[in-house]
Amino acid sequence: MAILLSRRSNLLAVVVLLLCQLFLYATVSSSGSVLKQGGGEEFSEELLLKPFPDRKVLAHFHFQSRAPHSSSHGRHHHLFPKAIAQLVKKFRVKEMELSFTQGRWRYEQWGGFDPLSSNNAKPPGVELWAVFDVPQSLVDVYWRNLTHTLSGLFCASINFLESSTTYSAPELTFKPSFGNLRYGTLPREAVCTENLTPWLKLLPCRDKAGLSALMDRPSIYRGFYHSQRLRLTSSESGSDEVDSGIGLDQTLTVVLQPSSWRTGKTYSVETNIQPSWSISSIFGRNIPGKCVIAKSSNVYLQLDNGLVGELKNLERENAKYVANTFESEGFQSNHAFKISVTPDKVFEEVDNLHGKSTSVIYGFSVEKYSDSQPFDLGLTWKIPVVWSCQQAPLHASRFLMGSGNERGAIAISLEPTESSEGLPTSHIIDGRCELRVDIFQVVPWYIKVYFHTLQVFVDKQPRAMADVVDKIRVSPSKDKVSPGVMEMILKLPCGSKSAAFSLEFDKGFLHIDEYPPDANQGFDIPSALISFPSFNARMNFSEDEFLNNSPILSKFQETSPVLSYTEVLLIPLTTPDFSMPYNVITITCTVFALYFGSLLNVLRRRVDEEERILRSRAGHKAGWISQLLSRLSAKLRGRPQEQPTSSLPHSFISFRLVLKILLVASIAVTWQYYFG
Amino acid sequence: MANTLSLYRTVKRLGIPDERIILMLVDDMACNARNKYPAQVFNNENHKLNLYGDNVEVDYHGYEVNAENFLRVLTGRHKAAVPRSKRLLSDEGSHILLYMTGHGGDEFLKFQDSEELQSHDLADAIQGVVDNGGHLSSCHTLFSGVLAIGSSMKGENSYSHHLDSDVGVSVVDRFTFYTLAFFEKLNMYDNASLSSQTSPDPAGASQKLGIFLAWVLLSHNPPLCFGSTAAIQQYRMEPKTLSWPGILPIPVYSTSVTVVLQSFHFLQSNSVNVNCILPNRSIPKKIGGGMEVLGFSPILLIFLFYISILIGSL
Repeated sequence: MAILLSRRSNLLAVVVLLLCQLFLYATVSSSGSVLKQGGGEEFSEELLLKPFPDRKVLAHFHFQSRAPHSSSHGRHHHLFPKAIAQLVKKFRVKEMELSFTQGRWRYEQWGGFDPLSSNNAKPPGVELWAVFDVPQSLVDVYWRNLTHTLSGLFCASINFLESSTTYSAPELTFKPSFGNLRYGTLPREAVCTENLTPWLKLLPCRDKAGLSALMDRPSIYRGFYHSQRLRLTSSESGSDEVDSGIGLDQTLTVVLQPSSWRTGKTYSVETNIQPSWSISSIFGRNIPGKCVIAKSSNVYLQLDNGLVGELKNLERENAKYVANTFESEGFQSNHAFKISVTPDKVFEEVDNLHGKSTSVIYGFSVEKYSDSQPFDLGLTWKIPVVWSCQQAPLHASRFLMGSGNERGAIAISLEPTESSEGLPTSHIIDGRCELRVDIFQVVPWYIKVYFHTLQVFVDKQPRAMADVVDKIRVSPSKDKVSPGVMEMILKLPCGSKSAAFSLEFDKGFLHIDEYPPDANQGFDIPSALISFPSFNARMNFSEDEFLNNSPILSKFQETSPVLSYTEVLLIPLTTPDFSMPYNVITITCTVFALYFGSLLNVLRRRVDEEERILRSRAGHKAGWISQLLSRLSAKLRGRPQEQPTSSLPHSFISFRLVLKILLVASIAVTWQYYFG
Repeated sequence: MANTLSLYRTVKRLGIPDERIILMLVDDMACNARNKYPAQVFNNENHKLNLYGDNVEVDYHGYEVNAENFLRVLTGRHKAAVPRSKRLLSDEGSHILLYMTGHGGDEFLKFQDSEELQSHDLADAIQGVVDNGGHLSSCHTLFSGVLAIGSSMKGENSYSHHLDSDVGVSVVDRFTFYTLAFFEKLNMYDNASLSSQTSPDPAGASQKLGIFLAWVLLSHNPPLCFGSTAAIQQYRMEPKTLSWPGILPIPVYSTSVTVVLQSFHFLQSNSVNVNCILPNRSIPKKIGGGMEVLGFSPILLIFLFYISILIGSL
């Protein structure tokens, strides 16, 4: 009976336990589904590949994380990096962009008009700008603390931006921010693996899974241009926007050259053919499936409009009947190129304002690939194709004029590119056709710019400032306090071919402590930012709800002005002789040593000491008291005679001694007087 | 730089996480445009091991590596805004390993080709760290809690191990090479200790350092600090500064007083009796010429110097 009862109780216990487990499982799964659907944190990763006309390939990684506002969802994050959320909360950041770049974006070959170039071509070194949500008097304090935190987070010397000589507060260039925006850049900052490591640690899958597993460090840093960028936007919960909360966009843009030995092709007869490449040949790895917690993981291959136009021309010229033309569905094989994987979606740009051909983007989804079946996309060229990327309306370049260590001039020149020949007439404003150009330039305080010497040349003819400059805002530099900031809005007449500006400066002097250890290399003037607000760098696609989910493509559809950065200028300043303190110390001390040495030598050297001792011993019999007395009197009299038996030459020598002493002492005193 | 990175890699491999390591590298060699192997640093000619790896975190680099920041790290005196990853954050019970490599000389270490750190400054800073390490027993305080090993004796030079003709520079020095060879044989679970000295070593000092490092790393869990700044020279905890009385403030730099003393030394060798200047020499009884006033003590000499300055400045 007892055994039966215990068995029954055991059964009961088991049943209760099972029920409990089911209940827990149900709650967990329901909460899990709630988190997935309505919880709000999202992460998506994308990669865009694009061939360039100069035999290089662009790889653009885009990782996007969104987190809803913390007051509604608590302070726990499961996808969003906590470091960034804490940064936003602590420093009240509304918007921030931080980029680490090495290399120069070649606008002539890689284009300057498309949204990718406008948003991702950054000046070399570190560039940071941030908008704060604090009263204007506190913005500088928050900026300083932000720079220190970022320098600890990203292993870079961003803390050098804390001093007021490095950052500025532009007002016209960026969107209106009522004085809460600060902009700083470090042109000489080196970018290496130590900056990429913490950047990758912000991603939920780190660099272990998904698209970030492609990032082979030697391959990335072998590129011609690499830039990692972090863009942060935060909006308050008060607004009713759909995307309130914190948004983090991390992009890595790399321009690589596919090397022929990696593809396995030994010899290509036609060297005009672009090199064939694949993901495994340029990165050395394949994509081992997607990051499991990513909402979407896609790879895109973009053929820009220049290339598409060229391919269509070649087709038309090619009289032979080609079974699969470019526009047909057979994307796998084509008369010009071949892609190794069939694309899942094709996006074609519509309604291009310039009336030229439109670019094409092939989309590949990484969802169905995994570790055992990795994703590798390859592009093989069959015939030589030459095209050019669309460039910004004017090509901006900057250079120095003058020579010597006293003065010089900075010149910015805007040259026409081939895309500026057919300027649309939609830029007619007030009956005049104008091209608006914005220039933003920051010059360090030791380059003392004279803004009254600003000269404008249009079509190589000097013009009055009022003709061309619509608005100019200048913040002159203060020595050791703030740099010189110039923001100009120009309205160039439409028919103008080129424009140039020159600005004269004097080179200043730095205190010896302010020189960096490699002072003889020179000092940098950061890149100037040239923007063309009347042109929109955007691509329109046909309406597709897929596009809203794709960060890269929705970014392409955003309206943004065409931007380009000029080069960084290197100015040699006069440097002092850094070994001078050492030289002064050694010379002074040698002189003092000689002074004291000779003084003591003169005073203490005893000539004929033994003779004196003997004589004193001999004279000791006479009576030592009298000897003592005679010695004392001799001392008081200035020591001309020491012994009663001293001969005249002896006293003569003593007199000489005295003269020498006086001479040395007077030299020392005059030295002190004149040089002390 | 390969020296520091090799030891950094070894330390990480043996279990110390990045949060407890402060790495200071001066040059940007890995991603320099002139590096044939971008993002790669090797410490051996065979290029088998990429020391830069995938996960390096450099806390101070470029212009930030200077004597001031180094001393701030050791003494813990930072500005308020400096982030935690750049601070040493040590307390009682911390064991700190300090590895410095670069150029230096007799009683100084060189930073960035433009400034030097004197051995007494370094000694003071390390003494400050040890003092904060609190309550040690009396027999430990006798040893000051510091064990220092240099790659060469005072007056010796420290040499590189071999040249990599592909890259064009010497990649590692002998001291680090043998130290690493010792460490590559260990893993996280070994029990090497200071008292175990096994094989005859080609470089005794490096073997001792290896054993010391093993003791530090494997038996405790210390925060560590590395630098790529100056050569390891044998310094003493009480560096031999000049034994001037210090009663009067001497308005010259310490180097100049050295020069002055050295020149006295020179004069002494020329049979000038300057015995009375140095305090630990005996003063001869018979003094002639009435110069006893000056000859008695160095304090009066300094007085004379002062007076001459005063007269000169009037």
